[in-house]
Amino acid sequence: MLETGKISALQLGMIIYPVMMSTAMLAGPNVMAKAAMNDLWISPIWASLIGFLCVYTTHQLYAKYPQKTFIEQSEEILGKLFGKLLGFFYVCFFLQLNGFIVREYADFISIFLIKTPLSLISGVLVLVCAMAVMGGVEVVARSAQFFFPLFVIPLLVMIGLIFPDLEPRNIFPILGNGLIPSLKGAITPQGWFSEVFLISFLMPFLTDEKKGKRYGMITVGLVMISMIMVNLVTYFLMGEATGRILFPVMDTARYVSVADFFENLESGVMAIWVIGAFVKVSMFYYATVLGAAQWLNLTTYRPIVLPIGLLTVIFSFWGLPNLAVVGDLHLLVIPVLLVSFCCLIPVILLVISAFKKSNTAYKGAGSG
Amino acid sequence: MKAKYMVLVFCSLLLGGCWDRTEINDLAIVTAAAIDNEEEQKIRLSIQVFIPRELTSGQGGTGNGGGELTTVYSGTGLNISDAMSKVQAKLSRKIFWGHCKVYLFGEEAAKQGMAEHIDFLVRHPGPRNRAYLYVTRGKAKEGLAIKTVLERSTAEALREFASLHIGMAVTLIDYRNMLKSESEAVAVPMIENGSKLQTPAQIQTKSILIGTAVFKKDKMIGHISPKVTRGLMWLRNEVTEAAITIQPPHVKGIVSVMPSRSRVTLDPVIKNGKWSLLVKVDTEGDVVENGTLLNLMNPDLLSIVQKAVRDDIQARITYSLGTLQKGLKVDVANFAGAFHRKYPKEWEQNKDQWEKIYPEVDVRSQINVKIRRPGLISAPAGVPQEDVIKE
Repeated sequence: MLETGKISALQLGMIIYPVMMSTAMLAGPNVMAKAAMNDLWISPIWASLIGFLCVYTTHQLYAKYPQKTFIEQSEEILGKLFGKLLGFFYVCFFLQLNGFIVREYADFISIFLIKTPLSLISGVLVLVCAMAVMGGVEVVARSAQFFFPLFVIPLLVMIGLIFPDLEPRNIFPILGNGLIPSLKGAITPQGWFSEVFLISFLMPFLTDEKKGKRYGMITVGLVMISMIMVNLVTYFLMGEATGRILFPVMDTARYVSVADFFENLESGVMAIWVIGAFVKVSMFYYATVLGAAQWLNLTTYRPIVLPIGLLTVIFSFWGLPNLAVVGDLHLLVIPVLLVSFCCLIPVILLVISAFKKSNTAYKGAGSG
Repeated sequence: MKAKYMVLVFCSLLLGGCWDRTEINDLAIVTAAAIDNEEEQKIRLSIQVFIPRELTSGQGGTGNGGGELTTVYSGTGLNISDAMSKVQAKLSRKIFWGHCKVYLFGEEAAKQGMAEHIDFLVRHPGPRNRAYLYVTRGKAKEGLAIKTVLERSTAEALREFASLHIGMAVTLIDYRNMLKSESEAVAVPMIENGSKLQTPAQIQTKSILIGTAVFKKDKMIGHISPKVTRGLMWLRNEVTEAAITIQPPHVKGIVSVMPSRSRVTLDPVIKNGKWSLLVKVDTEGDVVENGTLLNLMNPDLLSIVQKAVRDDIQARITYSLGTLQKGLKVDVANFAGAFHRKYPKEWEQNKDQWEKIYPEVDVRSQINVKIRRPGLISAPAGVPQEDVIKE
């Protein structure tokens, strides 16, 4: 057994919430407003369907192959050769994706820390995450649990403080151009919702296994509600301009002004974003490390933590020359990859395993 | 030993946070900025900078003002950033936008289009979206020199004006929202030419706000008087505190009512291809001055006053629509948005013709005034008891 730590189902939820929410909090309203305009609040509802599906398939696979992560499951289902091949793709995909997430984080931070080199910003984050991953799943879960209130409460406070400036009539006309815009707006968030697939790498370590699925579903639901809330608040404040503002939530926080002195809360949003990015990156990092170790049949994953961290930093630069390219990939390429890796392939594997099960059952009956 | 070195290495990595540090005594804190057009396609950026020295040494001399708390630097360039570099060259400290609360635009700059300037203010991470916009008569630079008696700087005074809602208060986000709204019409409050507000006598007698500058897209096309502005503020649901003074019909004397809460909704109707709009106003307030002989504790007499207030609000709205809808033909009250919200399909079909439709929209109003309290006294003070009209 590579991992000896144990986490609770609640902790699982607390890891996954920032994983799905942190990117959505920064750029979500912008991405959805571009396509859906004032129907942007409906998009998370469509997108969350894929999240629920992901939790369902991941749990079904886990129920068939208990105590195994997706990398091990694919070997069982597809056989040694194809299983290893698929596992390799997954490890590479996670590595690439994590690099991308680190880059998004670093690009945002460096808008304000202009002189700090990008490599330092991403390097320091990855280093901190490496420490968490080195400590194992328990440390990742504990830090997520510790940061969870720091992630959620400031967000709620900010929404409360901006309330007097909101213009709720911006929401009308609802579905003025039919359902299509809101569906288009759901394309990118689908990617974020399918990240819930990472529970596959946490479920084997649950103390209360039965609650895993339930907490996964609850988390997806909460993320959906939070996204709707954030989208509405930013749209109520900024209207159609939301589609042009790269970081609308931060702009919203900057607008807060209570009693002339409680203002300029964007540093708060940045702190939330750093916390969210830390949890998100360390979770993807952990999944990459654990997956790679299982794929290589290692007895411990600790030796590969730092090398994979280094690769993550490198991947955060590779093929990503500027924010325009990052934003472009973010809009369609990454979501398509995420949906296919986190939802489509697991569904296919589930179908295959269903056939296989009946096959072996049939064979068993024949020989018996 | 090895562990100790490791700790040192890790600690030094955390120093990465100090890379972009900024010390407060290296910053020139901008309190207001003014943008003017100059010859040869150039613009002039003037910034009002806080003088930190005065804060510490000026504490002894209370009352008589002492030295200036702010000073103005300016420079010309092709756009704001270019001009900013020129200004920076004159300053020993780095320009810091974070506390800039007011942007002034010269009339000429506003007429030639503000798109580029606004782009800088929104794109650059320094300036805040909460800052208020003003257009000045003449040069905006002179606006920065307006002497204020009560506040520390012009910027502070203008910000206070905005929060009092005497005229319109438009922040950068409001401006952007109006520009992106269906009507693409923008209104920005306008202030008097700075050169006319120099001596204390001028400041004490003249008012600084002189109505509103009206924009179509990003170009200023006209100026409306404070009276029209008040009607516009009713239409935009922005009225807060200003007494409505009326003369009730068939009664000698005048009454002032201070509205405390108002709500305005625009209710558009499209019927048989005819576009009309109902302005619904709900307002309530208290009587603050009564120069008539009416005893306002009598509900019947109060309703006379209520009706007069209603007619007055109606007249204000009609008056200002006369200028906005028939005169300038600019939809700053965003009727277009109201139509879009209620009739999305019709709006999609007709949005290109909005410029033609707008002046023809039939606007009616339905005003509901509730006077809640007559103030602290019932019958008018200062008149003999027998003269008071009770019924």
